[in-house]
Amino acid sequence: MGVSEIQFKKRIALNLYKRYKKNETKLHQLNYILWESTLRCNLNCLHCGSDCKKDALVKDMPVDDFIKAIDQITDIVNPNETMIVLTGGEVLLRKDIEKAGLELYKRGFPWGIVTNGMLLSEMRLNSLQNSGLRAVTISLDGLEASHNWLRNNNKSFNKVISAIKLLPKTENLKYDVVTCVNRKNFSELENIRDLLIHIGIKEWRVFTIFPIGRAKENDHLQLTPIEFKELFDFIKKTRKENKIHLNYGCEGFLGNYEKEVRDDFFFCRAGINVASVLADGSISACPNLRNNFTQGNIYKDNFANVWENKYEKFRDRGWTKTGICASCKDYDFCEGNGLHLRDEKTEELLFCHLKRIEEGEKCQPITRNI
Amino acid sequence: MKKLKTKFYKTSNTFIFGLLALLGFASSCEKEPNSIMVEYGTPSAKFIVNGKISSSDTNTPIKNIRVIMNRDTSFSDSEGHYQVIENRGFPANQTFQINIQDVDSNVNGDYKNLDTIVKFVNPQFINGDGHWYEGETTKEFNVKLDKK
Repeated sequence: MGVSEIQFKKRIALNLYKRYKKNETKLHQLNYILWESTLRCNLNCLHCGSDCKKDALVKDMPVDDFIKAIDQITDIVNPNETMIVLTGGEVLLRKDIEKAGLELYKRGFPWGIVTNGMLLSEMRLNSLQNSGLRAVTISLDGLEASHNWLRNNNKSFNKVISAIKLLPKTENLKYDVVTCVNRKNFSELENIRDLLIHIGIKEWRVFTIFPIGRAKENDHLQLTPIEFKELFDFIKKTRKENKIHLNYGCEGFLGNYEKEVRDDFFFCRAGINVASVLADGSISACPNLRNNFTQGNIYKDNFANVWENKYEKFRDRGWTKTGICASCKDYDFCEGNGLHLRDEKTEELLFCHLKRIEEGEKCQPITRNI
Repeated sequence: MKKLKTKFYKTSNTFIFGLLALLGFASSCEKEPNSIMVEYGTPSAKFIVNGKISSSDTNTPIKNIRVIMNRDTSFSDSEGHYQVIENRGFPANQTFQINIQDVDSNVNGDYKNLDTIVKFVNPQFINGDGHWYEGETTKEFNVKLDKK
Protein backbone atom coordinates (compact mmCIF):
# COMPACT_ATOMS: atom_id res chain seq x y z
CA MET A 1 0.00 0.00 0.00
CA GLY A 2 1.45 3.39 -1.04
CA VAL A 3 1.94 6.34 1.28
CA SER A 4 -1.02 8.18 -0.28
CA GLU A 5 -3.42 5.25 -0.09
CA ILE A 6 -4.44 5.88 3.49
CA GLN A 7 -6.21 2.95 5.12
CA PHE A 8 -9.94 3.38 5.68
CA LYS A 9 -9.75 3.30 9.48
CA LYS A 10 -6.87 5.72 9.56
CA ARG A 11 -8.75 8.07 7.23
CA ILE A 12 -11.67 8.13 9.67
CA ALA A 13 -9.22 8.86 12.51
CA LEU A 14 -7.59 11.64 10.48
CA ASN A 15 -11.01 13.19 9.90
CA LEU A 16 -11.69 13.12 13.63
CA TYR A 17 -8.27 14.60 14.31
CA LYS A 18 -9.03 17.36 11.79
CA ARG A 19 -11.99 18.31 14.01
CA TYR A 20 -9.70 18.29 17.05
CA LYS A 21 -7.27 20.61 15.27
CA LYS A 22 -10.10 23.00 14.48
CA ASN A 23 -11.15 23.02 18.13
CA GLU A 24 -7.58 23.64 19.25
CA THR A 25 -7.32 26.47 16.77
CA LYS A 26 -10.48 28.06 18.18
CA LEU A 27 -9.22 27.59 21.74
CA HIS A 28 -5.87 29.16 20.76
CA GLN A 29 -4.37 28.37 24.16
CA LEU A 30 -0.76 29.41 24.48
CA ASN A 31 1.15 26.63 26.23
CA TYR A 32 4.59 26.50 24.63
CA ILE A 33 7.03 29.38 24.32
CA LEU A 34 10.46 29.27 22.73
CA TRP A 35 12.98 31.93 23.59
CA GLU A 36 15.83 32.44 21.15
CA SER A 37 18.04 33.57 23.99
CA THR A 38 21.15 34.21 21.89
CA LEU A 39 22.36 34.10 18.32
CA ARG A 40 25.92 33.44 19.45
CA CYS A 41 27.17 29.93 18.85
CA ASN A 42 30.34 27.96 19.57
CA LEU A 43 29.83 25.84 16.46
CA ASN A 44 29.37 26.62 12.81
CA CYS A 45 27.06 23.84 11.65
CA LEU A 46 26.52 23.21 7.97
CA HIS A 47 22.77 22.85 8.38
CA CYS A 48 22.01 25.61 10.88
CA GLY A 49 18.48 26.98 10.56
CA SER A 50 19.24 30.03 12.68
CA ASP A 51 22.09 31.25 10.51
CA CYS A 52 23.86 32.22 13.71
CA LYS A 53 27.49 33.19 14.10
CA LYS A 54 30.22 33.04 16.71
CA ASP A 55 29.93 36.77 17.33
CA ALA A 56 26.37 37.62 16.53
CA LEU A 57 25.53 41.18 15.57
CA VAL A 58 22.35 41.01 17.61
CA LYS A 59 23.23 41.32 21.28
CA ASP A 60 21.74 38.87 23.76
CA MET A 61 18.41 40.00 25.10
CA PRO A 62 18.69 40.95 28.78
CA VAL A 63 16.95 38.41 31.02
CA ASP A 64 14.82 41.14 32.57
CA ASP A 65 13.38 42.08 29.18
CA PHE A 66 12.28 38.51 28.51
CA ILE A 67 10.83 38.08 31.99
CA LYS A 68 8.93 41.35 31.59
CA ALA A 69 7.32 39.90 28.45
CA ILE A 70 6.51 36.67 30.29
CA ASP A 71 4.87 38.66 33.09
CA GLN A 72 2.51 40.12 30.50
CA ILE A 73 1.01 36.73 29.68
CA THR A 74 0.32 35.45 33.18
CA ASP A 75 -3.38 36.35 32.84
CA ILE A 76 -3.84 34.26 29.70
CA VAL A 77 -1.88 31.11 30.60
CA ASN A 78 -1.55 28.70 33.47
CA PRO A 79 2.21 28.87 34.15
CA ASN A 80 2.31 25.23 35.32
CA GLU A 81 0.96 24.16 31.95
CA THR A 82 3.15 26.39 29.84
CA MET A 83 6.55 25.08 28.82
CA ILE A 84 9.30 27.56 28.08
CA VAL A 85 12.19 26.31 25.98
CA LEU A 86 15.41 28.28 25.71
CA THR A 87 17.13 27.92 22.35
CA GLY A 88 19.86 29.71 20.44
CA GLY A 89 22.41 29.91 18.95
CA GLU A 90 23.95 27.95 21.76
CA VAL A 91 22.03 28.70 24.90
CA LEU A 92 24.81 27.65 27.30
CA LEU A 93 27.08 30.41 26.04
CA ARG A 94 24.96 32.67 28.18
CA LYS A 95 26.16 32.74 31.76
CA ASP A 96 22.85 34.07 33.06
CA ILE A 97 20.61 31.20 31.92
CA GLU A 98 20.30 30.16 35.56
CA LYS A 99 19.05 33.64 36.44
CA ALA A 100 16.38 33.44 33.72
CA GLY A 101 15.48 29.91 34.76
CA LEU A 102 15.09 30.83 38.40
CA GLU A 103 12.76 33.70 37.51
CA LEU A 104 10.66 31.32 35.39
CA TYR A 105 10.69 28.71 38.15
CA LYS A 106 9.51 31.27 40.72
CA ARG A 107 6.58 32.07 38.45
CA GLY A 108 5.70 28.38 38.11
CA PHE A 109 6.83 27.82 34.51
CA PRO A 110 8.54 24.56 33.62
CA TRP A 111 11.52 25.29 31.41
CA GLY A 112 14.03 23.45 29.29
CA ILE A 113 16.97 23.99 26.97
CA VAL A 114 18.08 22.85 23.55
CA THR A 115 21.84 22.55 23.39
CA ASN A 116 24.65 21.18 21.25
CA GLY A 117 26.15 19.75 24.45
CA MET A 118 29.59 21.37 24.03
CA LEU A 119 29.32 23.18 27.37
CA LEU A 120 27.10 20.81 29.29
CA SER A 121 29.21 19.53 32.17
CA GLU A 122 27.93 17.83 35.31
CA MET A 123 28.55 21.01 37.25
CA ARG A 124 26.62 23.17 34.79
CA LEU A 125 23.77 20.67 34.71
CA ASN A 126 23.56 20.78 38.52
CA SER A 127 23.56 24.53 38.47
CA LEU A 128 20.76 24.55 35.86
CA GLN A 129 18.72 22.03 37.82
CA ASN A 130 19.10 24.16 40.93
CA SER A 131 17.41 26.88 38.92
CA GLY A 132 14.46 24.65 38.06
CA LEU A 133 15.57 23.11 34.75
CA ARG A 134 13.25 20.24 33.82
CA ALA A 135 14.02 19.25 30.24
CA VAL A 136 17.04 19.02 27.99
CA THR A 137 17.31 18.31 24.28
CA ILE A 138 20.77 17.49 22.92
CA SER A 139 21.75 17.14 19.28
CA LEU A 140 23.71 14.14 18.06
CA ASP A 141 24.10 14.10 14.32
CA GLY A 142 25.95 10.88 13.61
CA LEU A 143 28.92 8.80 14.58
CA GLU A 144 32.20 10.62 15.15
CA ALA A 145 33.17 11.54 11.59
CA SER A 146 29.74 12.53 10.36
CA HIS A 147 28.78 14.41 13.53
CA ASN A 148 32.03 16.38 13.48
CA TRP A 149 31.58 17.04 9.76
CA LEU A 150 28.07 18.46 10.16
CA ARG A 151 29.03 20.35 13.29
CA ASN A 152 32.23 21.59 11.67
CA ASN A 153 34.28 20.81 14.77
CA ASN A 154 36.63 17.90 15.48
CA LYS A 155 35.93 17.80 19.20
CA SER A 156 32.17 18.09 19.09
CA PHE A 157 31.37 14.35 19.01
CA ASN A 158 33.37 13.52 22.14
CA LYS A 159 31.89 16.48 23.96
CA VAL A 160 28.31 15.72 23.02
CA ILE A 161 28.68 12.05 24.01
CA SER A 162 30.00 13.13 27.42
CA ALA A 163 26.98 15.40 27.78
CA ILE A 164 24.52 12.72 26.63
CA LYS A 165 25.97 10.29 29.19
CA LEU A 166 24.92 12.69 31.95
CA LEU A 167 21.25 12.48 30.99
CA PRO A 168 20.15 8.97 32.05
CA LYS A 169 21.83 9.25 35.43
CA THR A 170 20.32 12.62 36.30
CA GLU A 171 17.19 12.49 38.44
CA ASN A 172 14.14 14.64 37.80
CA LEU A 173 15.24 15.50 34.30
CA LYS A 174 13.38 14.81 31.08
CA TYR A 175 15.48 14.63 27.99
CA ASP A 176 15.72 13.53 24.44
CA VAL A 177 18.45 13.26 21.86
CA VAL A 178 17.72 14.65 18.41
CA THR A 179 19.41 13.63 15.22
CA CYS A 180 19.32 15.57 12.02
CA VAL A 181 19.33 12.85 9.36
CA ASN A 182 21.31 13.65 6.22
CA ARG A 183 23.09 11.79 3.41
CA LYS A 184 26.27 11.43 5.45
CA ASN A 185 24.75 9.80 8.54
CA PHE A 186 21.89 7.95 6.86
CA SER A 187 23.79 4.66 6.68
CA GLU A 188 24.74 5.00 10.38
CA LEU A 189 21.23 5.15 11.80
CA GLU A 190 21.31 1.62 13.20
CA ASN A 191 24.69 2.28 14.82
CA ILE A 192 23.51 5.57 16.31
CA ARG A 193 20.45 3.79 17.70
CA ASP A 194 22.61 1.08 19.25
CA LEU A 195 24.97 3.66 20.71
CA LEU A 196 22.10 5.55 22.35
CA ILE A 197 20.58 2.35 23.74
CA HIS A 198 24.01 1.39 25.09
CA ILE A 199 24.29 4.76 26.87
CA GLY A 200 20.84 4.25 28.37
CA ILE A 201 18.94 6.87 26.40
CA LYS A 202 15.20 6.30 26.27
CA GLU A 203 14.01 9.11 24.00
CA TRP A 204 15.30 9.73 20.49
CA ARG A 205 13.90 12.00 17.86
CA VAL A 206 14.99 12.39 14.29
CA PHE A 207 14.23 15.05 11.75
CA THR A 208 15.38 15.74 8.25
CA ILE A 209 17.12 18.77 6.90
CA PHE A 210 14.86 21.25 5.25
CA PRO A 211 15.96 24.01 2.92
CA ILE A 212 16.25 26.97 5.28
CA GLY A 213 19.19 28.81 6.87
CA ARG A 214 22.57 27.47 5.80
CA ALA A 215 21.02 24.20 4.64
CA LYS A 216 19.62 26.15 1.69
CA GLU A 217 23.15 26.38 0.31
CA ASN A 218 23.86 22.67 1.00
CA ASP A 219 21.45 20.69 -1.15
CA HIS A 220 23.57 17.56 -0.76
CA LEU A 221 22.55 17.44 2.89
CA GLN A 222 19.06 16.37 1.87
CA LEU A 223 18.23 12.68 1.61
CA THR A 224 17.40 11.24 -1.80
CA PRO A 225 13.74 10.26 -2.23
CA ILE A 226 14.59 6.55 -1.71
CA GLU A 227 16.55 7.29 1.47
CA PHE A 228 13.76 9.57 2.65
CA LYS A 229 11.21 6.77 2.33
CA GLU A 230 13.59 4.26 3.91
CA LEU A 231 14.01 6.56 6.91
CA PHE A 232 10.34 6.11 7.78
CA ASP A 233 10.64 2.35 7.41
CA PHE A 234 13.57 2.47 9.82
CA ILE A 235 11.59 4.52 12.36
CA LYS A 236 8.64 2.13 12.08
CA LYS A 237 10.87 -0.88 12.65
CA THR A 238 12.67 0.73 15.61
CA ARG A 239 9.38 1.66 17.27
CA LYS A 240 8.20 -1.93 16.92
CA GLU A 241 11.40 -3.22 18.53
CA ASN A 242 10.64 -0.91 21.46
CA LYS A 243 14.20 -0.68 22.80
CA ILE A 244 14.21 3.10 22.44
CA HIS A 245 11.28 5.47 21.99
CA LEU A 246 11.88 6.96 18.55
CA ASN A 247 9.77 9.71 17.01
CA TYR A 248 9.97 11.64 13.79
CA GLY A 249 9.99 15.41 14.49
CA CYS A 250 6.79 17.42 14.43
CA GLU A 251 7.15 18.51 10.81
CA GLY A 252 5.28 17.23 7.76
CA PHE A 253 2.18 15.23 6.95
CA LEU A 254 3.24 11.65 6.20
CA GLY A 255 0.18 9.95 4.67
CA ASN A 256 0.00 6.30 5.60
CA TYR A 257 3.02 6.65 7.89
CA GLU A 258 0.96 8.89 10.19
CA LYS A 259 0.83 7.49 13.74
CA GLU A 260 3.39 4.83 12.81
CA VAL A 261 6.50 6.97 13.03
CA ARG A 262 5.47 9.38 15.77
CA ASP A 263 3.10 9.36 18.71
CA ASP A 264 0.54 11.75 17.29
CA PHE A 265 -0.93 12.71 13.97
CA PHE A 266 0.66 15.67 12.23
CA PHE A 267 -0.33 19.02 13.66
CA CYS A 268 1.70 22.18 13.09
CA ARG A 269 0.90 24.01 16.33
CA ALA A 270 2.80 27.17 15.39
CA GLY A 271 0.63 30.10 16.43
CA ILE A 272 -2.07 27.73 17.68
CA ASN A 273 -0.35 26.80 20.96
CA VAL A 274 3.24 27.83 20.27
CA ALA A 275 4.84 31.26 20.34
CA SER A 276 8.43 32.37 20.27
CA VAL A 277 10.41 35.39 21.30
CA LEU A 278 13.34 35.88 18.95
CA ALA A 279 16.73 37.38 19.80
CA ASP A 280 15.73 40.87 18.62
CA GLY A 281 12.45 40.79 20.54
CA SER A 282 10.29 39.73 17.60
CA ILE A 283 7.25 37.69 18.56
CA SER A 284 6.62 34.79 16.24
CA ALA A 285 5.53 31.15 16.42
CA CYS A 286 8.55 28.84 16.01
CA PRO A 287 12.05 30.36 15.89
CA ASN A 288 12.26 29.12 12.30
CA LEU A 289 9.44 31.46 11.36
CA ARG A 290 10.74 34.97 10.83
CA ASN A 291 10.18 37.92 8.46
CA ASN A 292 6.58 37.75 7.22
CA PHE A 293 5.58 35.52 10.10
CA THR A 294 6.54 38.00 12.82
CA GLN A 295 3.50 39.19 14.77
CA GLY A 296 4.96 41.88 16.98
CA ASN A 297 7.92 42.78 19.16
CA ILE A 298 8.21 42.66 22.93
CA TYR A 299 9.90 46.08 22.89
CA LYS A 300 6.86 47.68 21.26
CA ASP A 301 3.89 45.42 21.93
CA ASN A 302 2.22 43.69 24.83
CA PHE A 303 2.90 39.95 24.44
CA ALA A 304 -0.58 38.95 25.66
CA ASN A 305 -2.29 41.38 23.26
CA VAL A 306 -0.28 40.03 20.37
CA TRP A 307 -1.19 36.44 21.22
CA GLU A 308 -4.87 37.22 21.73
CA ASN A 309 -5.39 39.50 18.75
CA LYS A 310 -2.91 38.51 16.07
CA TYR A 311 -1.65 35.23 14.59
CA GLU A 312 -4.47 35.25 12.00
CA LYS A 313 -2.35 33.60 9.33
CA PHE A 314 -1.51 30.78 11.75
CA ARG A 315 -5.09 30.20 12.75
CA ASP A 316 -6.58 30.42 9.27
CA ARG A 317 -4.29 28.57 6.92
CA GLY A 318 -6.49 28.84 3.83
CA TRP A 319 -3.74 30.96 2.22
CA THR A 320 -1.48 27.90 2.06
CA LYS A 321 -3.73 26.17 -0.47
CA THR A 322 -1.66 27.31 -3.43
CA GLY A 323 0.92 25.68 -5.68
CA ILE A 324 1.13 21.92 -5.19
CA CYS A 325 -1.14 22.16 -2.14
CA ALA A 326 -4.05 23.48 -4.25
CA SER A 327 -4.79 20.13 -5.86
CA CYS A 328 -3.65 17.83 -3.04
CA LYS A 329 -6.37 15.42 -1.93
CA ASP A 330 -4.91 15.27 1.57
CA TYR A 331 -4.77 19.04 2.08
CA ASP A 332 -7.42 18.94 4.82
CA PHE A 333 -5.22 16.65 6.94
CA CYS A 334 -2.03 18.58 6.26
CA GLU A 335 -3.11 22.22 5.81
CA GLY A 336 -0.02 23.25 3.92
CA ASN A 337 2.61 21.30 5.88
CA GLY A 338 4.71 22.83 8.68
CA LEU A 339 4.76 26.59 8.30
CA HIS A 340 8.54 26.63 8.72
CA LEU A 341 8.68 24.82 5.37
CA ARG A 342 7.26 27.86 3.60
CA ASP A 343 9.44 30.55 2.12
CA GLU A 344 9.57 33.46 4.55
CA LYS A 345 8.99 36.02 1.82
CA THR A 346 7.00 34.33 -0.96
CA GLU A 347 5.25 31.89 1.41
CA GLU A 348 5.53 29.14 -1.22
CA LEU A 349 5.94 25.57 0.05
CA LEU A 350 9.60 24.54 -0.09
CA PHE A 351 9.23 20.89 0.81
CA CYS A 352 6.37 18.38 0.75
CA HIS A 353 7.03 15.23 2.77
CA LEU A 354 4.27 13.28 1.08
CA LYS A 355 5.52 14.03 -2.42
CA ARG A 356 9.06 13.15 -1.42
CA ILE A 357 8.00 9.76 -0.06
CA GLU A 358 5.92 9.15 -3.20
CA GLU A 359 9.00 9.86 -5.29
CA GLY A 360 10.90 7.36 -3.14
CA GLU A 361 8.21 4.74 -3.73
CA LYS A 362 8.40 5.25 -7.48
CA CYS A 363 12.17 4.76 -7.39
CA GLN A 364 11.92 1.53 -5.38
CA PRO A 365 12.82 -1.63 -7.29
CA ILE A 366 9.65 -3.68 -7.81
CA THR A 367 9.85 -7.17 -6.35
CA ARG A 368 7.32 -9.79 -7.35
CA ASN A 369 6.74 -13.34 -6.22
CA ILE A 370 6.99 -15.61 -9.23
CA MET B 1 -20.04 33.23 26.33
CA LYS B 2 -16.31 32.70 25.84
CA LYS B 3 -16.25 30.29 28.78
CA LEU B 4 -19.13 28.35 27.29
CA LYS B 5 -17.38 28.07 23.94
CA THR B 6 -14.15 26.98 25.63
CA LYS B 7 -16.04 24.28 27.51
CA PHE B 8 -17.71 23.13 24.29
CA TYR B 9 -14.40 22.80 22.40
CA LYS B 10 -12.74 20.99 25.31
CA THR B 11 -15.63 18.59 25.73
CA SER B 12 -15.69 18.00 22.01
CA ASN B 13 -11.95 17.19 22.10
CA THR B 14 -12.45 14.70 24.93
CA PHE B 15 -15.16 13.01 22.84
CA ILE B 16 -12.88 12.93 19.79
CA PHE B 17 -10.09 11.28 21.77
CA GLY B 18 -12.53 8.67 23.00
CA LEU B 19 -13.47 7.85 19.41
CA LEU B 20 -9.83 7.82 18.33
CA ALA B 21 -9.03 5.37 21.13
CA LEU B 22 -11.90 3.15 20.00
CA LEU B 23 -10.42 3.16 16.51
CA GLY B 24 -7.05 2.10 17.94
CA PHE B 25 -5.40 5.51 17.51
CA ALA B 26 -5.06 6.60 21.13
CA SER B 27 -3.17 9.85 21.21
CA SER B 28 -0.56 11.02 23.69
CA CYS B 29 -2.80 14.08 24.02
CA GLU B 30 -5.49 11.78 25.34
CA LYS B 31 -3.25 10.22 27.97
CA GLU B 32 -1.91 13.57 29.02
CA PRO B 33 -4.40 16.11 27.80
CA ASN B 34 -2.20 19.12 28.29
CA SER B 35 1.08 17.51 27.50
CA ILE B 36 1.42 18.94 24.05
CA MET B 37 4.38 17.28 22.44
CA VAL B 38 5.87 19.98 20.35
CA GLU B 39 9.46 19.74 19.25
CA TYR B 40 10.93 19.24 22.68
CA GLY B 41 8.31 17.50 24.83
CA THR B 42 6.75 18.49 28.12
CA PRO B 43 6.94 16.65 31.44
CA SER B 44 3.55 16.12 33.04
CA ALA B 45 1.87 14.31 35.92
CA LYS B 46 -1.51 13.48 37.39
CA PHE B 47 -2.40 14.96 40.80
CA ILE B 48 -5.20 13.17 42.67
CA VAL B 49 -6.91 14.57 45.75
CA ASN B 50 -9.05 12.18 47.87
CA GLY B 51 -10.84 13.03 51.04
CA LYS B 52 -13.89 13.06 53.23
CA ILE B 53 -16.24 15.93 53.92
CA SER B 54 -17.91 16.02 57.29
CA SER B 55 -19.73 18.37 59.60
CA SER B 56 -17.55 20.32 62.03
CA ASP B 57 -20.32 20.06 64.61
CA THR B 58 -21.28 16.42 64.53
CA ASN B 59 -18.40 14.86 62.60
CA THR B 60 -20.97 13.08 60.40
CA PRO B 61 -20.23 12.75 56.68
CA ILE B 62 -22.00 15.15 54.32
CA LYS B 63 -23.40 13.88 51.04
CA ASN B 64 -23.65 15.75 47.70
CA ILE B 65 -21.12 18.50 48.41
CA ARG B 66 -19.62 19.84 45.18
CA VAL B 67 -15.80 19.88 45.04
CA ILE B 68 -14.03 21.76 42.25
CA MET B 69 -10.31 21.65 41.52
CA ASN B 70 -9.18 23.30 38.29
CA ARG B 71 -11.19 21.61 35.55
CA ASP B 72 -12.48 18.69 37.61
CA THR B 73 -15.69 18.60 39.60
CA SER B 74 -17.06 15.83 41.80
CA PHE B 75 -19.75 15.36 44.48
CA SER B 76 -19.26 13.67 47.83
CA ASP B 77 -20.99 10.30 48.26
CA SER B 78 -23.15 9.15 51.19
CA GLU B 79 -19.98 8.60 53.26
CA GLY B 80 -18.66 12.05 52.43
CA HIS B 81 -15.92 10.74 50.14
CA TYR B 82 -14.84 12.70 47.09
CA GLN B 83 -12.05 12.62 44.52
CA VAL B 84 -10.82 15.34 42.17
CA ILE B 85 -8.03 14.98 39.67
CA GLU B 86 -5.70 17.33 37.85
CA ASN B 87 -4.49 15.37 34.83
CA ARG B 88 -2.32 18.08 33.43
CA GLY B 89 -0.04 19.20 36.20
CA PHE B 90 3.62 19.89 35.99
CA PRO B 91 5.57 17.31 38.06
CA ALA B 92 6.83 19.49 40.90
CA ASN B 93 5.55 21.06 44.11
CA GLN B 94 2.03 22.24 43.40
CA THR B 95 -0.68 24.26 45.09
CA PHE B 96 -4.24 23.81 43.85
CA GLN B 97 -7.25 25.87 44.79
CA ILE B 98 -10.25 23.82 45.90
CA ASN B 99 -13.79 25.17 46.04
CA ILE B 100 -16.19 23.24 48.26
CA GLN B 101 -19.85 24.14 47.83
CA ASP B 102 -23.14 23.07 49.34
CA VAL B 103 -25.39 23.18 46.29
CA ASP B 104 -28.47 21.28 47.48
CA SER B 105 -29.59 23.88 49.98
CA ASN B 106 -30.70 22.13 53.19
CA VAL B 107 -31.37 18.68 51.70
CA ASN B 108 -28.28 17.23 53.40
CA GLY B 109 -27.91 20.02 55.91
CA ASP B 110 -27.13 23.65 55.16
CA TYR B 111 -23.37 24.29 55.20
CA LYS B 112 -21.09 27.24 54.44
CA ASN B 113 -19.01 27.08 51.28
CA LEU B 114 -15.25 26.85 51.66
CA ASP B 115 -12.49 28.03 49.33
CA THR B 116 -9.18 26.54 50.32
CA ILE B 117 -5.93 25.17 48.92
CA VAL B 118 -4.24 21.81 48.83
CA LYS B 119 -0.48 21.61 48.63
CA PHE B 120 1.66 18.83 47.17
CA VAL B 121 5.14 19.12 48.66
CA ASN B 122 7.89 16.88 47.24
CA PRO B 123 5.30 14.65 45.57
CA GLN B 124 6.30 11.08 44.68
CA PHE B 125 5.00 9.90 41.32
CA ILE B 126 4.16 6.32 40.38
CA ASN B 127 3.25 4.53 37.15
CA GLY B 128 4.98 6.94 34.78
CA ASP B 129 5.45 5.80 31.20
CA GLY B 130 9.22 6.20 31.26
CA HIS B 131 8.90 9.09 28.82
CA TRP B 132 7.47 12.54 29.46
CA TYR B 133 4.58 11.42 31.66
CA GLU B 134 5.96 11.01 35.20
CA GLY B 135 2.91 9.27 36.65
CA GLU B 136 0.45 10.08 39.40
CA THR B 137 0.55 11.24 42.98
CA THR B 138 -2.22 11.17 45.58
CA LYS B 139 -2.99 13.30 48.62
CA GLU B 140 -5.66 12.87 51.25
CA PHE B 141 -7.45 16.07 52.11
CA ASN B 142 -10.29 15.90 54.64
CA VAL B 143 -12.57 18.86 55.13
CA LYS B 144 -14.92 19.93 57.89
CA LEU B 145 -17.72 22.32 56.99
CA ASP B 146 -19.46 24.70 59.35
CA LYS B 147 -23.21 24.94 59.43
CA LYS B 148 -24.74 28.18 58.17
